[in-house]
Amino acid sequence: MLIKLQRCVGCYGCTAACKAENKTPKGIFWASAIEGETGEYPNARRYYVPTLCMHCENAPCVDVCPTGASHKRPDGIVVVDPDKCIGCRYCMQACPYGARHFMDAIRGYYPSGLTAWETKAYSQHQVGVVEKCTFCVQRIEAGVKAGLKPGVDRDATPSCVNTCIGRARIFGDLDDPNSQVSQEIIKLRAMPLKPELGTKPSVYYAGYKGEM
Amino acid sequence: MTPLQTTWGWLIAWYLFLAGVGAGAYIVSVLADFLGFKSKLASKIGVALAAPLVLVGTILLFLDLGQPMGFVYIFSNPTSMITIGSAILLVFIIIGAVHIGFWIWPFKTLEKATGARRMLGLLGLVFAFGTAIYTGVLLGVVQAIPFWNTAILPMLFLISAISTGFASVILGLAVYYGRRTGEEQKGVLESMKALAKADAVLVGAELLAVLFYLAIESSSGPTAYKSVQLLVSGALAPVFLGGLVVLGLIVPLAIESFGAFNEGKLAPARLMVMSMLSAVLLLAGGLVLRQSVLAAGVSEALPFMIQTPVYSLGLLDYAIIAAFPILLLLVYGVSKAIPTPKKVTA
Repeated sequence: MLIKLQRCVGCYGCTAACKAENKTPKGIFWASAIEGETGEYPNARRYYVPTLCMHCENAPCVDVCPTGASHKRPDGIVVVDPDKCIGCRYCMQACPYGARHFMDAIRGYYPSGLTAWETKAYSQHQVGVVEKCTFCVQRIEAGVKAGLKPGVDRDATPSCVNTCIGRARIFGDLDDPNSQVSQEIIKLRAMPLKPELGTKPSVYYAGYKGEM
Repeated sequence: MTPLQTTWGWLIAWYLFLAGVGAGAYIVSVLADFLGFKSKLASKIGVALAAPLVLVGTILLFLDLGQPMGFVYIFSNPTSMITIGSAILLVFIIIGAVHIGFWIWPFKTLEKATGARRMLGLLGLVFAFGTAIYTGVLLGVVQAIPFWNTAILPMLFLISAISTGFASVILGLAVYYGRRTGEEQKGVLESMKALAKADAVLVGAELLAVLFYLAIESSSGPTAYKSVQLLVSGALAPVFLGGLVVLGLIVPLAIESFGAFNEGKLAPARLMVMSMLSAVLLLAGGLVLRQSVLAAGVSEALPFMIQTPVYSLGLLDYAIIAAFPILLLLVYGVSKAIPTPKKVTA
């Protein structure tokens, strides 16, 4: 995935789309954004940096997981198997990007308890395990099965990418040098975050030059 | 203000501490056995404490899991320190249990079979060192947290483990001192003196290790610097400096050195109180060390992240500060309860 920071306006559409797609309970944000401000009057401005799981090639979370619940799929997506995860939270310590969340409890958005919709929607989450962004693996799987191409067809693409109003996000196959995402990463000289750690993230940021 | 590491909390701190004390007590006892201490008590106490303490620690770790019943999968990934560590802990607990079972209770087979006992001790020693070092390596391999990602941490935890191991054996000996008489009682006192002397050296080494740890981490990048700041001038400073450096290291070192230099002049009862006091302080200090290092393990922020204040001293932090005077009172009370041995007239 490539995120063009100049195109991000901080609308949090990705956060909302992720919540709608993955139905994460209150307090859990797989896709979020860091906001800050930079410069001094009169040249000050606000900036937004969308964050998510970087799906690293050398994922530290996969290395430290004692049960093998955190694992890498053949297509490079890092996922957590909730049936194997024991909630030791070692992966959360190891993740340099703060992308992982521990489900200590499922909380609803309303003080009167879970609504009927929430009860049904949150049933896909499990208490006591670690969860994180999956690149909407369910969409990709269904799309590929239907003969669609992730990053090209909307039905095989993560919902944060689909929803972005500034088209700040580009999704695709990084192993394919001719895919739009690979081409643009080269053209825009995009960089992953904390490249010095050697984790080789699959999420690249364009327009980030060491400081905002 | 820097937010603290909160992913792992008190249960993990207690686990690291108990695993350290258990392993340390075993190391001290087996070495005492090898060196042929006149009183077998020193060796027996440590061996009796080792496996149960590590087991309790492991149970705490188990309780900290989000899905405790999934622990059967824990040996699936040999690159994970938790997998390696759990295997070491398991073997150590088994060896420790065998050692207890055949030497202390219910069987006393190893009492006479010195050779077999020492072979078992040697094997257990390997895993005791493994357990103590593992608690540091567990944190040490986390690259995302610069304060932990250092080679000195396993060494520091090992030194602390052996030192708290000494403390637990000394405390155990002090409890038995009043129940023994004559030659046996003398032997207990002699072992205590010898252990306290060796421990003083270790406490000094630990003090230096803490100093070097902070000195080097303070120049290992901005995040590690923040961690050091938390410990020496931030939210954790009262607990760390007061609880570990002063009460947990300097005071016990002073007491033990004073005892060592004035060995002949001090009455046994007074020596006993001093040993117990320093032992309790050392044990509390060991726990404070684990908790401080855990809490100060600030994760490296993303380059453009704004730090927001999150933490202030919690109830448990105040509880640990308050616990020191209570522990002192406790030691005083116990020392009063120990019957003073009658003077033997030659």
